Amino acid sequence: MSTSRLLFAFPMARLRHSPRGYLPALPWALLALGQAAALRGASHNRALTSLFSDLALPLGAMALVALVFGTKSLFSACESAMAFGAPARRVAAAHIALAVGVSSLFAAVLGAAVCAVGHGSQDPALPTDLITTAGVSALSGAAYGALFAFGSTFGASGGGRMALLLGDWLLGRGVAFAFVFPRLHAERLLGAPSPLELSPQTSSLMLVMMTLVFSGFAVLRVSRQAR
Amino acid sequence: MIVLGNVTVTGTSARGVPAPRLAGLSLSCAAGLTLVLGSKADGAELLGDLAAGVLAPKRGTATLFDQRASSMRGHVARVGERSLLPEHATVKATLELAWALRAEALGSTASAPSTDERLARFALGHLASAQVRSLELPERRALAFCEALTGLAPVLVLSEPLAHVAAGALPAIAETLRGRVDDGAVVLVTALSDRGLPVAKQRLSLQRGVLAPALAAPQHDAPGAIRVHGTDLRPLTQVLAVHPDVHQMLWTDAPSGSPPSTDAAPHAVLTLHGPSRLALAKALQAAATAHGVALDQWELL
Repeated sequence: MSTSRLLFAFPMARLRHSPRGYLPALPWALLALGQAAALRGASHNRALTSLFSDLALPLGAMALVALVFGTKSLFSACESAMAFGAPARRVAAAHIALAVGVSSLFAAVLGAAVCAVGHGSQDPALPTDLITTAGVSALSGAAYGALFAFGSTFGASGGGRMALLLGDWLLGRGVAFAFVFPRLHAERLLGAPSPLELSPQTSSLMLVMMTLVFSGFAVLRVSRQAR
Repeated sequence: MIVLGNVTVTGTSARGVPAPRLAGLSLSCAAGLTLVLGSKADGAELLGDLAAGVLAPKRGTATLFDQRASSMRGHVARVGERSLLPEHATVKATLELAWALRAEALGSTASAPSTDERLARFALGHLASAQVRSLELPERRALAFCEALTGLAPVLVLSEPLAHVAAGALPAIAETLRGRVDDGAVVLVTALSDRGLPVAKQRLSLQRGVLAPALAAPQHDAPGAIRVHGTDLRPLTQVLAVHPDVHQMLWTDAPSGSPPSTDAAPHAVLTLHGPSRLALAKALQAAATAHGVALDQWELL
């Protein structure tokens, strides 16, 4: 088995053997789908930019990040692999990559499902719309995954996740925090009016940058804690 | 080789129990068994975590083979009060993952032994497909010792290896530990008692965060003497001279038998004579601890 696969084996075991860990993401996903069904026929943007982007996306991402890290801090999640000699940076990177990947996949699937359920006659053709929505949701999910991975490096049980979630809710729509929280860019790409005059490409790039920067900071913090 | 140089660290306090603390502690463990007799409250768990690189000292240095201990985790198998095991992995997968990661860290190409055989030896064969988080404490400890003792790590740092372990695993732990010591592994064991453990090359006692040489417990409390070697034993003489268990002190570098009165003796050998070796040992230990005197070595006569 290659070393990379070995490093992924630790968080993968949590994903495989903790079915109850998915439950916190489920109600928000169902709520978003329920709202999309209720708004069916109207523009699906309304469904995507209310419960989906407000609740389902950040809360689902946070639940899945917590699942990948075993509801602990990122450092604690990495400890068992580090105890067997795996380098802290690589272990952390494997954990974060999986968390970001799972969060992104969840967002893409749920975004596409909300789009399909709430699709209206005035929306673009469904196949194109599905692909666009899934792509935008995946980018947003990845940014949220990285944000919460970074938050997991604070507090003994990764309590920083919750602090960043609150920050995203309370401050995320402020222009001043557009470079810190993904909310403004995610909503902008999903069709909400934005106070920022940014092109969709710029918002997409911002989400990619946030994913990379938060992941990088999280890796750095874990390797510093391991010293 | 484990070297702790003048380390200071404070542990976490439990309810009603003060936090253990090690202050200015130095220790060197070469190949063979180093036994530290002491409790968790004395700082034994802290000492093990420091030596294994799990915990960074607040001050001082902790090195392993001349590298920072925390960067050498692959070389050390640490079994302490809290064993770091992948909770969601199966018992069998844990051993396989540990072997593969240690082989990578050590650059070893040794072929992995049969995991089933390793587990069977430690009476864990029936738990091979169980998840680690489902194990009881004695089984968890048996698994941690199985990984440590039959794995690739050349350095073992173990706490109470014969306590709180599944009964079926005890013979394998004692036997494998003896084998690893004989093979020249660097082994640091912290325990309350040396009962059942291999003969230690270095015996130390840890009391309230202070390390001191520990005498081998005599088989019987025979009358006798102790010869003590130290760089500066003079501070002890004030105490030992009036101690009821010591009735004679002889200084090998002072023909009259009295302690040297000048600074001319950087190294002195003091021979104590008293009613029993055990009483002498206790008296010596208490005096050395009380006065912060480092004793190089001693021998029972």
